[in-house]
Amino acid sequence: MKTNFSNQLIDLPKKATGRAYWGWFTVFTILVLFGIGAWIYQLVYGLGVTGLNRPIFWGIYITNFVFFIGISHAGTLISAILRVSNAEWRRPVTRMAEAITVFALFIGASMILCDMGRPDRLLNVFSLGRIQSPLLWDVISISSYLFASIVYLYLPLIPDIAAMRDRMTTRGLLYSFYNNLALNWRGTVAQKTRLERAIGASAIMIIPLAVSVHTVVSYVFAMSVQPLWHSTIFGPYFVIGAIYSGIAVLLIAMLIARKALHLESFLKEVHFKYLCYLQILMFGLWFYATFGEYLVTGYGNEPSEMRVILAKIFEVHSWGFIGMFAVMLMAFFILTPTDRLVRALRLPTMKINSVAAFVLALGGWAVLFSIIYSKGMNSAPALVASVVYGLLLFLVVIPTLRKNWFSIALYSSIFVAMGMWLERFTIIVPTLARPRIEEMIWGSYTPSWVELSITVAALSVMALLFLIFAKVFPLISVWEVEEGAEAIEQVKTNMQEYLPDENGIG
Amino acid sequence: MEKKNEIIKEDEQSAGISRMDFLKGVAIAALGGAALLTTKKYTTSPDVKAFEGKKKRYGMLIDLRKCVGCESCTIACKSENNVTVDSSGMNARRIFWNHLVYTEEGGEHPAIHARPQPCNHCENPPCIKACPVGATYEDESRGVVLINYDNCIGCRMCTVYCPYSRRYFNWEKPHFPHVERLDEKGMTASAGGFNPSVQVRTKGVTEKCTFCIHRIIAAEERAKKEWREVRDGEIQPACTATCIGGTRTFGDLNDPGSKISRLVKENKDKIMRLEEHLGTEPKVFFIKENI
Repeated sequence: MKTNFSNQLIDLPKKATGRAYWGWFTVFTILVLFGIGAWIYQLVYGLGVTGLNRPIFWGIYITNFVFFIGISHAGTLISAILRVSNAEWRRPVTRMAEAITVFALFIGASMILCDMGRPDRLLNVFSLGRIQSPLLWDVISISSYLFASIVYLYLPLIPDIAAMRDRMTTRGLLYSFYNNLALNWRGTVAQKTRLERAIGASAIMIIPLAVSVHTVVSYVFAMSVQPLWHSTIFGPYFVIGAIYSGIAVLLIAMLIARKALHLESFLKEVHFKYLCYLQILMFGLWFYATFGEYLVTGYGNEPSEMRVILAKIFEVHSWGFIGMFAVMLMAFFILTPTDRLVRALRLPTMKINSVAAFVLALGGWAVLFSIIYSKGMNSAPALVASVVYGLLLFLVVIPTLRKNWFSIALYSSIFVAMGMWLERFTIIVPTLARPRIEEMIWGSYTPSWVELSITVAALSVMALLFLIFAKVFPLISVWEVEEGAEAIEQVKTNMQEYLPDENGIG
Repeated sequence: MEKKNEIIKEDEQSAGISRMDFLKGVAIAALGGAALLTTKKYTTSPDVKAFEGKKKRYGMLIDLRKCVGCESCTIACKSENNVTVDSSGMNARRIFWNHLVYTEEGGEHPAIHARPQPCNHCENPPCIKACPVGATYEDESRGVVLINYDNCIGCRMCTVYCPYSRRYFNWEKPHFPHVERLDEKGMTASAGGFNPSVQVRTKGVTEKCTFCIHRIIAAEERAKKEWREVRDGEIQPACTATCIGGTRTFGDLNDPGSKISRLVKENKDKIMRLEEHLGTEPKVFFIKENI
């Protein structure tokens, strides 16, 4: 069944190009090239050009690695879980989620390359690899996940690629590109059955694989005996954080695509609403794990662990730890109907421009933090500033950012992405800064311009790959959205099965 | 001789080798041949064989009561092992295979305590577990933890996993002002700039104390040439040799008669090792100062 929007969606990649598209394309390309330049500079002069030192051997490269591998969970895990559980609203969401997965995995893996002292010896990992090392578990699990997610992105793409091939009028290089990728797809019943079985099987298989990936990433830290790393919660904690940040980045990408490609009639408010509900759940899980981790270690009061906790809260890298809690709580307040509570208390709320509110939230936080940092937590200026900031947040910022589910999704996702990056930073750096042999070294770490520009480049590669993908393939799974209309009957019969019988009891 | 020949003759006549026996013989010969091939051949005399197989467990005892904190060991180690000379302005990037840790004590009798800190050469080293390419390994016949600089990929798993922060990373190209000065004068590095028996590291690899493995090997070879075992106290790492207070004792912990084994036994109540609760079993022992 071809609905009237099918061809529109198939033609979307062609229409995607405008002045804005090429503008952003150029901006991101320049940023990526600058990052590559910085990396070459680092190759020539060694890791001395970073801010890393002893004992802080790992910095924002590893933070980025964990962050990007985390983002890759969005995708596949969300789209696989939604597919397996037959959530019908998933249809326009899955393609973007799967694409993000593949891109983020590539970038995450390349971050390790940036962090290596001898990247020329990368292949030693394969020729001399020792399975005893947690890093090799990473290599195995990430490479299988990368392969699986490419397959999982490609399988549902086949019918759309065939449709694109069929819409082409010329028989050039591009035609043979799509023709080869379409694998002779004709849309016959036999082919469709086979495809659906393949997608179903890989959706089920990819879930344990995705869980294993971030578990193993956490094991790189948890397998050591370093204070606050050697923790059994790290596996699930990292997986939860991965899904949390993954959905956040997916939401941001969906909002951008919706706006840029005018997909208002496909990506509706309800999609964002459901994903935001998922985010509230993920916040709960994340908070539970974080709370448990710090309460348990803090209550235990083991000296070497306590030093790290105190360093996190009060010392040089406290901006990371406290900033993480601040943005995460802000995301939670935006996700949940706090403004209704404020209105129920009959407090006067105020609405301003949403961008201004966003800037206010972060700027106010920076002012508050610097006052607390310089004057101390119990000082009068700090107390006044906290009260002012709290009122500002609840009466002005949050009512403004909670305009509709689009703005809730956008702002909460930005905060969540920031918070999750800070969480990874605050897991990695303070533990290294306060090693066990306490009198030996107190470390501190500030990223250098090389590290920052490589980080910016990593984010730009993400955006660039997304732009290129939008130019080559439809960002929405056309055939699956088409099938959505047919699914209504299916859902009805499914529901008949579990509705109570008419005669009731007896 | 005659008797022997007679017996053989008798055997041949009486037995009359059957086909079964022949096959048996072939099988036994084949097995014997295989056994001969797989058995390691010893070309040295039986006496040498006896102590070559013996496993050594080199360790170090540092008597903190004798340490004056002169840092001679730090300097001796740096020049002995071709360690880079302050490659950057950052304090936290300097490399000291042997590092002196100072602790201050306030109160009525303020004091400053120095503790030399080489690599602990743990029996159960976390760094070896972490290395993804096996570049850091244990020399099993000597119990020394070493690094193969040619295989190290610079991922810094080992530096992060070491609970003692005893591993160092070459953030930049190693810098040797004295060698550069020699080169400027047209002399080559072999004219005395480097210790030729220690490999110079490249940028991007990890390094740490090796218990002066080149000195251990040299002593062993000397002993082998002279058809004897390595004597206790014959091997002296640079830090031990240079120490003015005789603070350090180096030797084989497996040999109950060695000086280090005796000292460890005698001072049982005064001995400590760092972070013993981690189960890493360090082979560097300290005699505590305040007891």
